[in-house]
Formats: sequence, C-alpha cells, structure tokens
Amino acid sequence: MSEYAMTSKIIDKAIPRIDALEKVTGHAVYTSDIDLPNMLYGKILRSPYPHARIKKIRTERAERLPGVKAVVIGREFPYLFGETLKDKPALAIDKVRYVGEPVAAVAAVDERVAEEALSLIEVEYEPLPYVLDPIEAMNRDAPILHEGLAEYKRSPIVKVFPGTNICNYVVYEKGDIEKGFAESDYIFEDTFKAPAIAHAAIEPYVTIAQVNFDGRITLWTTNDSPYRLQVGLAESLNIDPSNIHVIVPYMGGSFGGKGGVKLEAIAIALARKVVGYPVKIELTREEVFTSTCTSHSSIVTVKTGVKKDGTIVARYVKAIYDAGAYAEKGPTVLIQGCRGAAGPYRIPHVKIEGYLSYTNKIPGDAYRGYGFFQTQFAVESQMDDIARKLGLDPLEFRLKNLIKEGDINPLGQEVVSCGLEKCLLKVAESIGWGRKEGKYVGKGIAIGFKNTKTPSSSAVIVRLNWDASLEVYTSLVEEGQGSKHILAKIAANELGIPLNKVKVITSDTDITPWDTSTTSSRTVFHQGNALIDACRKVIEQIKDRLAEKFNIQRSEIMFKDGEFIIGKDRISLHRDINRVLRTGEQIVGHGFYEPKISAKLWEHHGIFWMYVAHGVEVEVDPETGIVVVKKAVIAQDVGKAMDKATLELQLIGGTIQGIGNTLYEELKFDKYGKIENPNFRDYHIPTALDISEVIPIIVEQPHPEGPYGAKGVGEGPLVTIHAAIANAIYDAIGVRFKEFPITPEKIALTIKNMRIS
Amino acid sequence: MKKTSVTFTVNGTKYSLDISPNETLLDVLRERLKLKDVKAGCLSGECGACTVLVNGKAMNSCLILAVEVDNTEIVTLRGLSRDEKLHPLQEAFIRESAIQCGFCTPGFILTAFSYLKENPKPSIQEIKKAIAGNLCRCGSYPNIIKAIYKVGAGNE
Amino acid sequence: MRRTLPEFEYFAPPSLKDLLELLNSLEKAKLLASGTDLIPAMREKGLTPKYVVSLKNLTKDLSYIKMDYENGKRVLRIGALTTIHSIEASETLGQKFYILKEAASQLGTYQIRNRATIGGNLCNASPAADMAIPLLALNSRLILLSIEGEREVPIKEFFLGPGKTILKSNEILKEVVIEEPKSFGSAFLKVSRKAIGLAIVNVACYVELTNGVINDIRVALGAVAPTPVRATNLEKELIGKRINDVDITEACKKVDEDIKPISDVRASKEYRMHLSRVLTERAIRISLQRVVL
Repeated sequence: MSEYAMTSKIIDKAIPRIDALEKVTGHAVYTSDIDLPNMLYGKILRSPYPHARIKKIRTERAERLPGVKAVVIGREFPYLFGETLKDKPALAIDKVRYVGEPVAAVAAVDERVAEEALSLIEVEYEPLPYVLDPIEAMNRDAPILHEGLAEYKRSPIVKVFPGTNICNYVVYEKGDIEKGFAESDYIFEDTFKAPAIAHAAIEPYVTIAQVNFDGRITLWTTNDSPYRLQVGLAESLNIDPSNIHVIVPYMGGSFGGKGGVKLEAIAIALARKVVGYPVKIELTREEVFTSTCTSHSSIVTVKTGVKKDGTIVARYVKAIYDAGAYAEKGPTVLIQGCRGAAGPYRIPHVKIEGYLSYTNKIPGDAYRGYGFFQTQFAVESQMDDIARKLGLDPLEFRLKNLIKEGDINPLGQEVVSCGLEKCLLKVAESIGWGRKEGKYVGKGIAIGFKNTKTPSSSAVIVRLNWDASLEVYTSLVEEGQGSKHILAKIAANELGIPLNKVKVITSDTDITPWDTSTTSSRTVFHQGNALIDACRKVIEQIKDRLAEKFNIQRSEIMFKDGEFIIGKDRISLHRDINRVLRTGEQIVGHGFYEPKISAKLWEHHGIFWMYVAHGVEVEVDPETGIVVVKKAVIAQDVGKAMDKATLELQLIGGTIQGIGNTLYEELKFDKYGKIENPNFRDYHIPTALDISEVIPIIVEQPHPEGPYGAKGVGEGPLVTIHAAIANAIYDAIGVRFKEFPITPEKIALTIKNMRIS
Repeated sequence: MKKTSVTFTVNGTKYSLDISPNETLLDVLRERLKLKDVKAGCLSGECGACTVLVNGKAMNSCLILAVEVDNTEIVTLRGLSRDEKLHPLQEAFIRESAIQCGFCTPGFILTAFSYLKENPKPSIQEIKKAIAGNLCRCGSYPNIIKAIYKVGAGNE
Repeated sequence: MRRTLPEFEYFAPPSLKDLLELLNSLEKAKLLASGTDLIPAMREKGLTPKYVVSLKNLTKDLSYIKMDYENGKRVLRIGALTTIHSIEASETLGQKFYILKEAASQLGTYQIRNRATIGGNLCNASPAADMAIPLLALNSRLILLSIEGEREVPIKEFFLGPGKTILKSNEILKEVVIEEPKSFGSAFLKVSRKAIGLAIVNVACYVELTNGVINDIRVALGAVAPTPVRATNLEKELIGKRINDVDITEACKKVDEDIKPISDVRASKEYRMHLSRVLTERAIRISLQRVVL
C-alpha cells in the first residue's frame, strides 16, 4: 500500500464481487452475446490429415452458393503468427500439419449456409509421412514439419535447430552437476510423463471481426490479452498496432487457452473481403477440443543425487515438451517450466535442459501453470520415492531441503518472500499426516512454486469525477479470477471512496491503457502497483488544487485515510471533493508499473514467486479402481490476501481442476493424432458429484514490492496437485504411477495383474 | 423448410413465432428473442449451460426442438427476478461467492430452482446429484452447493 | 459436429390413431419422443432423417405408471412416454421395483431425466441403455402397437443389435409391463463417469431364495455386448444351489462366457471383462442381502 492508504481496511473487508450481480442476473455480456447489425457468420474447413501437402483448393462452388459473402484460403492470407516464434498461418498455406488445422473459411448470411458452403469446397491433398511422438520427432530421420524453421521471425530467446523438429532448447546451470553426483551417496533416476490436457472452459471460443473502409480492424474476441493480441497481429500483418482495436468483454474461463492468435486472424481474413460487415466465428465444442490447443504433454527425466542423511546435493532434469504442430507459446512454456524443474529446494548443483519438439498434433499452448506442473509432477513424485528408499518420512525429507527466505533457489536467485515451509506444515497438519486411516486410504503431499513472467508492465488510468465517483481503466480481462474486483478494492482503499462508487472498465484498447497480458498470475501485482501509482497522481493533483485554493505550499498538505489534512482542517476526498472540483471536472491519474530490471521479457527468473503445497487423502476401490479424493487441502503463499473469498475460490477451483487432470481427464488420440473424444461426455472434467472436501489455506508472506505485499494466486493450485494425488495413491495401494491420468481402468488392471503374478 | 407456428410464454411474455421445426429452443431464445442469458456451451446436453425451465422443470434447451414446447411456459434466468428483486438463490450465489467467470451461473441457478421446488430441503448429496449436469470448469462447486443448501435450509 | 440441424419434414399427429395411420404411410420415419437422443444423433453422428414424427401430443395417452392385474397377477405398467424423472420419483414403484428407480436415477443428468422417456431409452437401443438392464433382469414384456393392432414381445427378444430393435417401421413401443417380482432381492450397479456418462458396464440382478436355495436368478449386463444381455451361463451355474455352499466369486467367472465386450473410447475390453465380474458379484451379494427385507 502507499503511504496514503488507511491500512488495508477495505482490502480486508468481505465484500461481494463487483461483477457478481451482473452475472447472477444474466446481464453480463460475453463475446458470443454480441449481436451487430449486418453480421455475417464464419465457418472453418479443416484438415482431415495429420500431415499433407495441399495440391489444389477449389472454392467456386462455395462462392456461388446463395448467401455466401466471402471465401478465403491460406494463399490469399499468407501471414504467420506466433508469440515468440512466428510459424503458424491463419489458414494452411502449402501444407497441413495436424488433423483439424484450418484450411479454408467461409462467411455467409447465416450459419446454415456457411456450413453448407464448407461441403462445397474441394481440397486435393497429398498425404505425407507424419510423427506423433516428440522423441521420435527429434530423431534424425523423422518427418520434418517446418522446413522453413530457420526463416521464421523469432525472439532471441528462442533457439531453433533448423532441419529438425526442435523449436526451442533451454538450459539452466548452477554449480557443477558432475561434481554433485560424484559427491552423492545415492543417485535416483526416474522418468515421468504428463498428458495433453484440454482447458475445457465452458465458454467456447468466439471472435467477431470488422474491417472498415479505412482499413482499421475491430475485434470483439475471447482473448486474455488485448494488447498482446494487438501488437502480435500488427507485427504479423505488417500494419500499425493502432489500426487494430481489440475489445474483450467478460470471458467464460480461459485457463491460458484463450491467448495468442486463435480465431482472430481467420476472422480478419474474412472481414477484409466484406469490408464494413462484421464476421462472427464461434467454435463448436468439438472444434474447441480438436483445433484450438491443449497443454503440452511431456516426458521429464529427473536424476537426483542425495547424501545418506537426505540432503539433496545434485539434480539434473531433462524435459521434453511436445509442441504439437505449431509453437504458439511453447517456447516460453518450456523456458518457464524448466525454471521450476528442480523444485523449490536448496540444491548446490543443478542442471536443467529442455527441448520443445513439433509433432503432427493439435498445438500445445499456455495452460494454468505455464509448463510448471509437468516438471513439478516429476520432481515431487520422485521426492516421495527417494524418501521412502532412504527410510525417511516424505514430509521430513521435504522440510530438510526446501528453500526458505534468504536461501538461493536452483536458478541462483535469492529467495525473497517465501512462505513455503508454512504452507507445507499446514497441509500436513490438515490431512493428519502420519495417521493411517484405512486399508486402501492414502495420504500424499507435494510442494511447488511458480514465478511470474518478468519483466512485464502495466498501465492503469483512474478518473476521479466531481461527484467523487471513480473510474478505473485497465486492460485486464475478467475471466473469473476476480482481478476486476480486487482492483476496485485497491482504488477504494487508496482514495477512501466507497466501493460502490468505483467502476472498473476493462479490456478495450481504444480506451484502456497498455497491459502486457492477463496471464502468469501477474495482474494484481503489476496492475495493482500501476493503480496505486495512478491514485497517487490523483492525490498529488488535488493537493495542487488545494494549495492554490488556500494559498499554501503543497508540502503543508497531507493525505491519510481518505482525508486531506491541512493543519487542523480535514477535507474528506469522497465527501468534499465537490468543493475542489467544479461540476463536470475530472482529475485523471495515469499510473504505470514495471519492475526495475534491466533484462528483457522472459529473461529474468521472476520478480516474485508463489509458493504452494497440497495435501490429499484418497480412498481407492481396488476392484473397480475408482479413486475418491476424500479431502484435498491447499496452502498457498499469496503475499497478501486481497479478497479472501475470491482467493479461496481460486485455490479451491484450481485444486478441483487439477483433480480432474490427474484422475479423470484423458484425451484419446487415434493413430492419426485425431482426438477421439472431443466432447464432455467422454472427456471427464469434474462434476459436483466428484468432489468431497476441499480446504483452502491462505498463507501471507508479504512481498516488498507487491501492492499491500500481494503476489499472485491463479496458477499455484495447478502446480502441485497432480503429484500430491499420485503420492496419495502410492500410499494407499503401493503402486507408483509415473503418468497420469490415473484412471480407474489403469488402477484396477494394474492391481489385478499384480495379484495374478 | 416449411415453417410452423408456435406459441409459448417466455419470462411471462407470450410469443407467437413462425419457426422451422429444426430450430432448437436454444436457437430461438438466443437468436430470435435475443435472450442472451441462456448460454451455449456444448450443444450436446452435457454442460448444462443452456438450462431453462419448461413448465417449471429444468431442461437443456439445446436438446429441445422449439416446436416441441408449443404452449408451454419457459423461464430463463432473467425471468427469475421479479420487479428487480433478486430470487433467494441469486442472493445466495452472491453471498456465498459461488461465481467466478459466471458463464455456468444461469444454468446452475435454474437447475437449483427447479430441484428445490420438488425437494425444498435437500441434503448436500442430493444437491450434488441434481447439479451434476451443470459443469463448472472454474471449480466453484463447493460454494455453489453451499449456496443452494442454505436456501434449502431456509425453506419450510 | 454441425451447429445447425439438418432439414426434415415434421409431423405432430394429434392422436394415437392419427399417429398409427401416419406411420403406416411413411417410409422410415424417425419417432421423436424427447429428442435427447435424436438431436445429438443429428448434430454429431450425421443422422439426416427425411421424416420426423413427434409424439408430443400423445403424452397424455402414453405417460403413466400404474399397478394393474393380469391373469390374477399384479403387474406394473409404464407408458412409453413416461419420463425418466417420473420413474425415479414414483411412489407407485414399491420396493420390489427398486432397481428401476435406481437405474432411472443414474441415467444422464437431472435435466435429461426431466425430459427423456423410457420408450426413447429402449428404442434407441444402446447396448448400455440404463432402463433396459433392470427391465431385462425383471423379465419385462413390451407392448408394441401399430395400425394392425398390439403385440407383446419379451424384452429379451426386443434388441437386435446396437441401435436396432424388433420394431417394424409402422410400429411404436406403447407400454412396458413387468410382473411384480416375488422377492425383494435385486440390485443395479453402474460404473461410468458421474452424471452424463454412458455406462462402462452396468449390471442388474434379481434373485429369489427359498430355504437358502437360489430358485431363480437373473443377471443382466449392459455395454458388454451388441445388445443388453442376460448372463445365462452364470445363471445356470447358480440356480438350484444353496447360498451357503456356493462360491459366488468363483461362479462369477462364468460371466465371461456371456459377454463380448469391445474396446472403445471409454474403456478397454480387458477392463470391461474385469468390471463385469466385479459388478456382477457385488450385485448378486447386494441382491441376496436384500431378499430378507
């Protein structure tokens, strides 16, 4: 908090979310709810092949269908998109690289005509050899997906290996890994796998694009980062960013999947052909599953060297992430995931290597946790196994080695603001660690951490009106995480204005100022700081007015607890501002925040780290293999709880999502890499019947640079839950699963085969 | 396709429409009547986001041909609050923090409304079963269940 | 998957007589009860029926649950358009028909149960049809109706294959008739993803004991063969045996001979074989416990 705020009175107060009323009455607007005059409807034709050359596309019959207004193919729109590696066309240009890839698009007066038009487009393909496994894809003789890899525009942080399918490589080293293993008494090496997970937000992807006669593009879209989208599109299309107007209304969940360029480029391609008409593309649930993105599946090998007494001396991690057909955010997911790969432990000798490989499957992309759970699942599973083999309690083993304030983390960074130990102790206590509850009942713990992309920046504008109402302009996207509410609270707390007089206006690039992205659990920290800066500027401007009005020096005026103090006089900002401002007058504060770090985005290990621990109690039915999570406890160090209810819900919700990932969710790929279960019937996300007790525990270890000491929240829950459940299942039935989902079928058949042999 | 005439009441207002038999109730509510509080999540009756009340009973509007609900009373979320007064379920969802992204919220509230009419004081397990057809990826289930339970507990 | 539904010719006959006449004159019409199977089939499975005949005006005629007498025996009659929810909530269905309520309560979701009908579930003829399994265990009979009149078919003969029934193109399912069972010994178990899930395996069991001897046992399984099946080999193994003398676990291995599961997107053949034994044994044990109620 700033020197002006009344401690954190409003922050600590339990106030219903400011977006709750709209949502509970059905008035909240999501992108699909937007109806524009003369709107056309777009549909996408998709590749049936995992890898094929496009020899010919004939669109005449589709173009002639009454009601069709535009048809577009890749060759007419040959731009490439991507966050740090621009390798993805909007519509396939000379070849297709996964089943489901967009090949052509149609805009028509209604969806019926658009769907019919798709069936009139003829495409001639020449199938090519394809590869579905990332390790095979890295072999010398594997089919190559991107022949032009060397020529793609890319950020300096991306290392590609032209002539191969490897589109990023990263290495982190500390100490001397060989020396570390030489000094170890025991060495353990294990390989773990994580699957591709579908984000499965209930709101499908939607984009409406309109191109006007001056060439300016307007987008209403389900995208988590309006400015990142604007800048990315502008770079790829070679136009001025200010010629792209991005508007994001409320989003019905994203979890990382609705970022980057998904439908927007295709919608623009169509919209340019029907200038002045909006074109809306909304995906079916099947398309969301098969043709947007998943998390990155991974193969992670962990080699750990320990002393007899359980001190970890060395850790080598090799991570292979499956990019799918296009890089999307894969390069930075690898970079981040590898940052966390050694786990939150004090280890003198560390080496982490990561590879990102193309395969002919749906692209991998950001998923809540951004590459961390793949490596944390591996490390935290192995930690339990090592403990047991050394005859140590898994809890004690972790307590002995975990990082604390002032330690050096595996990346060589000094640990600041770390509540990890407290988190672990609290979850262990909550699940009754050490008590055996029943024959097939098991308990598991896991710890982890997650950073935020650094350095990134945010701007926030506040506008104080003559009637003491306040608008906060921010480009954050409210997708359920509650940041909108938290920013409103911060503004109210800083200026001493009642919360019901604060309005937060979000995500419209013509109105709200720059923000890097609503990702990486960064919003409260960065936007919060920018907001405090903006509020400070408003206060300073009012001080100037008062100084002039009362003919005194500005330095004689103080602001505390919502009041200006001049000698014995107190002027309340929210009650008396109309004495300072005339009707119609407004004071605007433009705030900005960026960590004072000289590195470029992604180069720094993280301005803050979130620390988290999960404890889980499960009961296994050994015959059916069904696992019931009886209790799941999560403790996360959030720096400072900015809204208890919102935070707890994020912790609970993320835990439930992680339980789904670990036990029920399985994307089934056939031999062509096609997803066989692209629906909620056969891809099982948790329902109300699947959850028992989920307990959130908030730990606060204030961060010196965070607003009120706050850090981030959102991704923590998805980092440790998978390993905690796997560890609990081991405790229950003595079987170590090194892959998930750990489905009833896998458990039942494993136990059955064990009993037979 | 030959159109047919249907008449039904939606949120208290009577409508007579000429529609094609292959239009679903979801299509008619969202696209013709512009009732955007009914959400489309999957079009397969699996996520529950499109839940509406037909003669008081919760059903997936994506699985109903609009012609089939001729002469019925249909209620969407907007029809639940009377005279700008919130229904106890809506108040409970706000109070118990049962909302994150909000996309699933209309479906949940209508399902709960329908279920509470036939079982006014349900147990936690009964509530879970009744709302198992409403998916929430944000994971707000515990608070949603709590909200419905508390409204039920307040019933006679 | 398509967002818009294909075009078809739609009929909504106002009476049973009109319906039967219409069906007699149309080739290959699709009957529409709730639409909870028909609409997904049109959206996701490419079904493009030429004619769709709605049963919406026949709800009053064909929606009922009542106890009746037939040849001096008590029978339960359920109209084909009775919703699954009505069955789940019915007070007419006493304890002896408990497995019907159990199966109904686990069919789909609450929203689907409010709309789907028992007739729709049976005529859709999924090998995993939740209502078919207990009905099979209870030796139900189905009344089929056409312009030519009524005929009765034991449920064992109704299913011909996945999605295929014995119904003629001008016939509808009118009613399900179940003779009141002699004992309370029954159970229904289902393993699937909670709520919306299609069964990986579902099992219903009915058993009668006399002086500790199993004098009748019927076990029906779903999702493990092209149609719902009776485990006749297993039944033969157990009929006439004393429950104190028989090793139920060992006997349940016989169920392997009665099923022919496949591997699909939901489960592998191995898991289905394993689960069939596990659930059958559990269902039998629960049924035996319930006999003495």
